Amino acid sequence: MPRILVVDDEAMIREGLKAYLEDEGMQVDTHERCETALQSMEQGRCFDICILDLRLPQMDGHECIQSLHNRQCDLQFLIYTGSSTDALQSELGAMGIDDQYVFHKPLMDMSVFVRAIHQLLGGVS
Amino acid sequence: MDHLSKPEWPIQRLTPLRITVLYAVVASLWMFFSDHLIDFLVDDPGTALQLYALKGWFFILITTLVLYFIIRYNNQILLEAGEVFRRNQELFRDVTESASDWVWEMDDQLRFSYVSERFYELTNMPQSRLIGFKRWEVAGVDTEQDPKWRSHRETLETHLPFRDFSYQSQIPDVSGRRHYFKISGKPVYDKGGRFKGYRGMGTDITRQVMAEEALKESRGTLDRLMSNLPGMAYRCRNDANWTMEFVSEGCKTLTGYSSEGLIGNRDCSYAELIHPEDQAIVWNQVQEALEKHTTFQLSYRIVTAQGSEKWVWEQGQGVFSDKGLLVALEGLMLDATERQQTQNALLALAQNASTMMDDEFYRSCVRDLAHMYDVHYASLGIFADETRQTIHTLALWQNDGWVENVAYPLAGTPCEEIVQGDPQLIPDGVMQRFPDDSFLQREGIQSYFGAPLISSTGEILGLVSVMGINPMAPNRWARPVLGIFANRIALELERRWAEERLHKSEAHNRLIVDTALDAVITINNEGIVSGWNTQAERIFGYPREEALDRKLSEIIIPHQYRAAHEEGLKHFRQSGEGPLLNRRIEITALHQDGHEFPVELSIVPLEHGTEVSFSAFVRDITRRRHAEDEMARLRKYLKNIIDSMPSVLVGVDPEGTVTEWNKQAEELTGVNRDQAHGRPFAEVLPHLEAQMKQVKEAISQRQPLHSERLVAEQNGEVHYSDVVVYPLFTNGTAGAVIRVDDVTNRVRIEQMMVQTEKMMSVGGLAAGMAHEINNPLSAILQACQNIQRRISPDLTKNQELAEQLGIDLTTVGQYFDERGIHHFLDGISDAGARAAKIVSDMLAFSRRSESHFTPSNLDELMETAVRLAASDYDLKKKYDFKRIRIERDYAPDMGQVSCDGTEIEQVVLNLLKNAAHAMSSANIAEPCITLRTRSEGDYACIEVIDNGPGMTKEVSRRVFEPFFTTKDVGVGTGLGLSVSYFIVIEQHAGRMSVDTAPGKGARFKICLPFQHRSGT
Repeated sequence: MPRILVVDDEAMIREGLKAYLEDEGMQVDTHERCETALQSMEQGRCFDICILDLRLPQMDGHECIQSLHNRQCDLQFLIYTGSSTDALQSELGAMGIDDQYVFHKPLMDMSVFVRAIHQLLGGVS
Repeated sequence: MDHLSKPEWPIQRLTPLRITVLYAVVASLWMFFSDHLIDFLVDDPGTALQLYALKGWFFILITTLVLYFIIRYNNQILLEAGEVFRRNQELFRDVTESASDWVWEMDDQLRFSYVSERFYELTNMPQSRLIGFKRWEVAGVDTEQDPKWRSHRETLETHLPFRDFSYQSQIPDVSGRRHYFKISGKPVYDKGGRFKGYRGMGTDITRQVMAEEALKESRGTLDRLMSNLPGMAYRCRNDANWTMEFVSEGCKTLTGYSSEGLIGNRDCSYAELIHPEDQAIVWNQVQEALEKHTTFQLSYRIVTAQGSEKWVWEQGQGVFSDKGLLVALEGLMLDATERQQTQNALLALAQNASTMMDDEFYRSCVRDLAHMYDVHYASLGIFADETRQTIHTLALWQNDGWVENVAYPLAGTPCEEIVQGDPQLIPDGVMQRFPDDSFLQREGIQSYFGAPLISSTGEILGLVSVMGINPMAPNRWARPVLGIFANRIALELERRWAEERLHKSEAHNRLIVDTALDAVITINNEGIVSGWNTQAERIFGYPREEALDRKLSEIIIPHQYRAAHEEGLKHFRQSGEGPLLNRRIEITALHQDGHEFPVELSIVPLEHGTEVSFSAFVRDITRRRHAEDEMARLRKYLKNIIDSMPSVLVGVDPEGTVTEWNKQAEELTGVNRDQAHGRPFAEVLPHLEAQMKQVKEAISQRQPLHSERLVAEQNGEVHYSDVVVYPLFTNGTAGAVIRVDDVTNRVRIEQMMVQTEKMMSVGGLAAGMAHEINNPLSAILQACQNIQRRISPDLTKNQELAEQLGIDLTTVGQYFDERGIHHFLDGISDAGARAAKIVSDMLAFSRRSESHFTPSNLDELMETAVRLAASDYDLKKKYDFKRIRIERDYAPDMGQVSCDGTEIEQVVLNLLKNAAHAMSSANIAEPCITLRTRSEGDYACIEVIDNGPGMTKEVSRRVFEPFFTTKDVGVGTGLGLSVSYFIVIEQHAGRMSVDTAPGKGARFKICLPFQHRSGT
């Protein structure tokens, strides 16, 4: 069962995603902020995929990805952002994050996540 | 008688000496030869002796015979000579004794030695008083005192011959008469050359002298007679001087010169006295009379010594010798000045018309008439105008004076009858006969004579009349004299009018010839040049003398026209028709140097009786032609420029009437140039009616006036025009040019750009808030999707939970259907999607950096777009893009284009979607999209062509406007093409256009510069 970490400051987006992915048979943890996600990981939680917004209160998306990556280096990321102007930072490329894993809000159909998750995990498993 | 030479005899020529010598020689020769002959022939001495004797006798015989004949001949000659001498002597005596002449001789002392008997008879002077005396001693004159005698004495003393020395003898003859002698003589010399004296003759000329004296006396009588004549008798030679041999004393009175002065042309020749103008006449008339041997009568003028002019009447004739030779002219001259003056006065009366001024002539006529008829009123009048109802007087005489001219109506006056053509003589009672004539009544006119003035063509010009306050006697000259006056005046009027006309036309002609720049050439009807003015010399290069009398066709008419020229002349001679006459024609002429040049020509035929000549007025129009050509060229050039202007250009005059109308104007209005000309511009350009005020204003202010974006509705569409009115001032005439530019497209683009600018600012704003909007949108849409999933009976989790809860999902689904829950959820989803699209489109207007520009292959971009279209979710929902046939027409060797590939992909995708949408909505049977790339200069061009329904002009003009859409509400945002336009124009400095018409599909064209230049 894929373990999905969703980090988004918008509760309805977190819950919407969680509902959809759980319906797809995935285990989903949600966090409003990156810090709490990190705390939960420190408490021993592990995830396969992290879906996160780039604009987050306090620690922003890029720092968050970096921190989560440092915590769990095999964690893979899908970016779900409401901003079309925010460019991905070049360091992310080194972690295998490129444009095809960036999804712009709003999504008409969340199945793209399911496909992307399967694609990412399929490569691993 | 030694004073007479003896006659010479022939025998004297043979002198005795010669005869003797001849005899001796002949005799000697005879003796010598005859002796020798005998000796030779006869040998016998006896016979010889006999022969000698015979010979001697023979000789004696011969010589005797010769001697005899000689003596006999001489005797005869002597006899004859003696007879002649005797007869001569008798003759001499007869002559000297019987003739009136005598012979005289003087010795070397100039003393008379002999004087023949006749002298003694004449003078009855004794010989003793003559012989031995000198002539002047005999004559008893003092040679020192009398010059005539002194010169005679000198002649004699120097031994010179003399002739005709005449003198009067001092000694009277028996009858007491003193004779006049005339003598001649010549000196005599002896054989040694010594002066021997004088020998000569004398004649008694007493009777001759007496006759002469008698003649002189009688001449004096004649002179006296003639001096009492009022003229001068003369005798003159028939030479150029009229050299006078005799003139009578009257000469002084007549000519002012003395008779002596005139005779022999001493002071002056008579010819010089004759007035220079009359000299030829005098000579000719005299010579004519002389030829005919008739008398001549002359009247001529002479100029006297005092310088005054006199008329001379002369009668004379030639004096001829027996042999018929002209010896002299004789005649008489009389002073005819007075008679001539009288005659001249009469002549002047008849002729004065030509020398008097108009008024003077008319006035003198009416005055003369008044005097002649002894009346108070006389008048001369002509018709005042064409109506012939009114008479305008030219001269009016009233009570011994001229009064001011008047005009009076004919009606009711006696004049009315006269102008019908007949003279009227009303000796009395005229006042009663014409009661309506106020003038007659006022002045109390009793009598009236009048005559019409009739021209030579029979036209009545007016009338002349005399009026008296007393009855007039209609005597026998009353009518003819009036008639003569009337005729004279009528003629004069005609002549003056003709002269006036002539004068006017002459003055006119002269003015034309003198001042015109035209060459004036006159030819006769044979085409021979008779007139050639200086301008003609200049234009054609022929001096006048060279052109005159030559055929016009040979000098100035080019070869190719000569035949036609001759033909034209011939035609005119035959028919009198000349189609080229009296109008201006342009033709080619030939210059003297051979070059041809254009001239303007008008030919005027001039008729002189039956003769016709032609005057041609010729103007060199080479320069004008050049100017015209240049003008035409320029005009065409300008017209081309004006026509090629993209603006409507309309020329108008200050009243707004169209004078110019260019091609654009034709295209805009559908009214062609010819139709528009002369019409008010508001009529042909109704939407510019309001501009009339501007036209006037522009002209009055002399400044162009601009009006921008005038709105007019045309074919149900709003049009914008920029109008500029330029005032025009050409050679004082005002007008204006109205320039109209249809700026509808520009206005729309501008409006679009304004919109775009707005969108860009919105874009900037959107970029800032997109995140904030997208999050709630995302929440809505995710929630919506989750709801739809979780009410779906398909999901296992749903069924499990429903079973636990004891709910039948199918029933719940039915319930949701019945209540439209699904529909509402779809509505939320769609609205969310639309909002999301708007946000993303708006974001497109936010400028982006050019860092995304990469060299791209347009073909690949387009293929990507096609792929995206084919897999596009929205598209698939409504129609199948794969149904559309895609034709590719890519330029094979087009290089790469610097652009933002993703953006361009989006643009192309947008076009493809639009095309698919348009074609599907129109249910096109075989939808087809052609994709084409072309390289056009610096631009790489993409064309997306569909065979859909196309667009109307109104639509196509607005497709790039933001929020303009033909799609149903909710189908499109209305931003697609405007965003594409923005991307192409603003971000790539490219071009984007659409070419479409209803039913013809649409072709969108995007051109991008190969090399993108930053900052544009």
